[in-house]
Amino acid sequence: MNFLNNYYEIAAVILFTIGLFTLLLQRNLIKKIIGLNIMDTSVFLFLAAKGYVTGRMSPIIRDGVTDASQYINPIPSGLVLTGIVVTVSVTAFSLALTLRWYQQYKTLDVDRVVLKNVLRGEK
Amino acid sequence: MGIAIILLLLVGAVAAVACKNDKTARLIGFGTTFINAILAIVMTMSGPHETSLFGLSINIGYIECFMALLFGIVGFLIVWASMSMISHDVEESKIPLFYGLVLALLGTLNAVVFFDNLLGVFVSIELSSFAAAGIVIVKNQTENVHAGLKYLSLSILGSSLVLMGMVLLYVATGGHLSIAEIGNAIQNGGVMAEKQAYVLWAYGLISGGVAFKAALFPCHIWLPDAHGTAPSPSSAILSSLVLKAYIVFYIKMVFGGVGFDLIASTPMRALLNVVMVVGVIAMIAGSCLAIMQTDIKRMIAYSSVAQMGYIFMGIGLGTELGLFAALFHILAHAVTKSGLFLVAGSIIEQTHNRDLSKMGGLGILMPVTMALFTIGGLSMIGIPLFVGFNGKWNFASAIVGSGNYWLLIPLSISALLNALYYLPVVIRAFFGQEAKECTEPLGSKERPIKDIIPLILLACLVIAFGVAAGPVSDFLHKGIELLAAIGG
Repeated sequence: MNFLNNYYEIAAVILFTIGLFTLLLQRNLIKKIIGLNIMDTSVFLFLAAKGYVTGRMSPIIRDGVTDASQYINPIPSGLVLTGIVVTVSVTAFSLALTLRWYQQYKTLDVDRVVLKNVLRGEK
Repeated sequence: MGIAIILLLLVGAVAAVACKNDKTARLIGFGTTFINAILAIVMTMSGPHETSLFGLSINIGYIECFMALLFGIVGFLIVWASMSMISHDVEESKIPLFYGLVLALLGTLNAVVFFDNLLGVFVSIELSSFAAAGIVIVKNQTENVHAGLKYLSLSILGSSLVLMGMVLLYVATGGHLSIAEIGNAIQNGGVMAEKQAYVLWAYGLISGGVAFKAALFPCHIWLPDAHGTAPSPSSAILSSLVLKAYIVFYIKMVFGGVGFDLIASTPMRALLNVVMVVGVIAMIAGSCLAIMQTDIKRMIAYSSVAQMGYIFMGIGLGTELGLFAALFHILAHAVTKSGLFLVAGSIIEQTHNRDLSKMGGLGILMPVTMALFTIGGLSMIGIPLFVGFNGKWNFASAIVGSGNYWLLIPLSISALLNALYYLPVVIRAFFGQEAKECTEPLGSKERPIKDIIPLILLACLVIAFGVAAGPVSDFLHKGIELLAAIGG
């Protein structure tokens, strides 16, 4: 296992872990959403790194070259683009919900709200 | 035909949101799901075929037909029941939005199951998460926002893990993104031998992601909130259909991708053992948590956690019989649990009471509704003549077939625990002190009979599949053969 050659993967895994634990352990909703974004970004970094093949071109026909082996596979790039769109919409949706949440509870702290519900006898 | 189903539901969703009138939206929902059910039947008649949508391959086999039928028929009955129930939970101005989200959800769930290309699967999974969180939040109460936010963030976490797993498989197989090609590369191309660590990590991540999306025990924390607070028809759709689509995707990935032979002979066996043990823990823990609940919908939601444990245990056995038992239990749980949630919705609507301890005497006030609850409860416990019994019988025979005899102990304990939380409700409703002292006339709080026809039809399905499970079993065995051959 050569760590220097696999630095993309290492960076992706570290970012993914940071994002995952931010999402799960932070009490502030905005920080949770930031964690979600970091986590998704790490997957895109991994995917974009894996989609690149040294010496091949992006999949748009250039100089009349039609041999498929001269180009990279467009699907990973497509997956990254789709994933980015999805992440943007997830972020927008969760921020809208967070706004509603804040209007109801006047706080962004999840634990405090859960505690308040428990004290009121709801679960 | 598969494309027609997906497009029909998505067009119906747009039409329902576009019309501002709640009556028209109801009719659009009813009509679209009815046509969808008919299309699913026609598709099953015409048999397996391959096609593509936006250049992404779709591979329809018998299991996909089975799921399309389930989404079509159960979805239609739930939407039918929701036509009279939904105004209790959702404001009139939000009803078109509700039907739009339900139709979009059914369309994307069909897409999750149909797509063979993982890009299509990933997009459909994300879209279905949005729609599923939407039908929780549409009720517009404070606790729904809380539940919806929790559901959304954990299901996005699940799909990120699944995406990471898909990318690892793409790398390991040298650039394949369709389940059939991945299966071919792993089973015939020697990928399993050369890049075992990659494949195992990929399947580990996919298992973790699916555990979040399908509420396998330690990752189930969003489910009681989401299913307990959502409008009752939404709860029925969420528990009976939404969870199942992700499980079928997982089944296709594991058994279509790795195949039965490699599962038995490689460290995939260890991964599936973990899934099996976690499933067993979920069976027991879900039932124990359900016993502790006082709210009827939360109790039924925790019962779903236990039933998901059964299904994952069947997958974890890694044999054809185990897979068959898991697929059959998907059907059993879908028809039973949707009926139970709709019955719970009827009770809450008529009595404005969610507390289980105050449900004494309901058997006199609402005899038909409580009879339907009894049928659902008995089926979940696993009494013969109801579909839940066949499900559990299949699990028992799969366990005996695989030689893990110790699993029979948690299986029977779990059935006993199921009885502990369903039967007291039934007994108190029909034979309790309140029922004897009840002075109101028989059936005085019953809903009009035309509103409970879909609930009665669901109960008929529970009994029909309980008495005659043969045709379904044959169909599923054909489906498993086809799935095993997909990458071979």
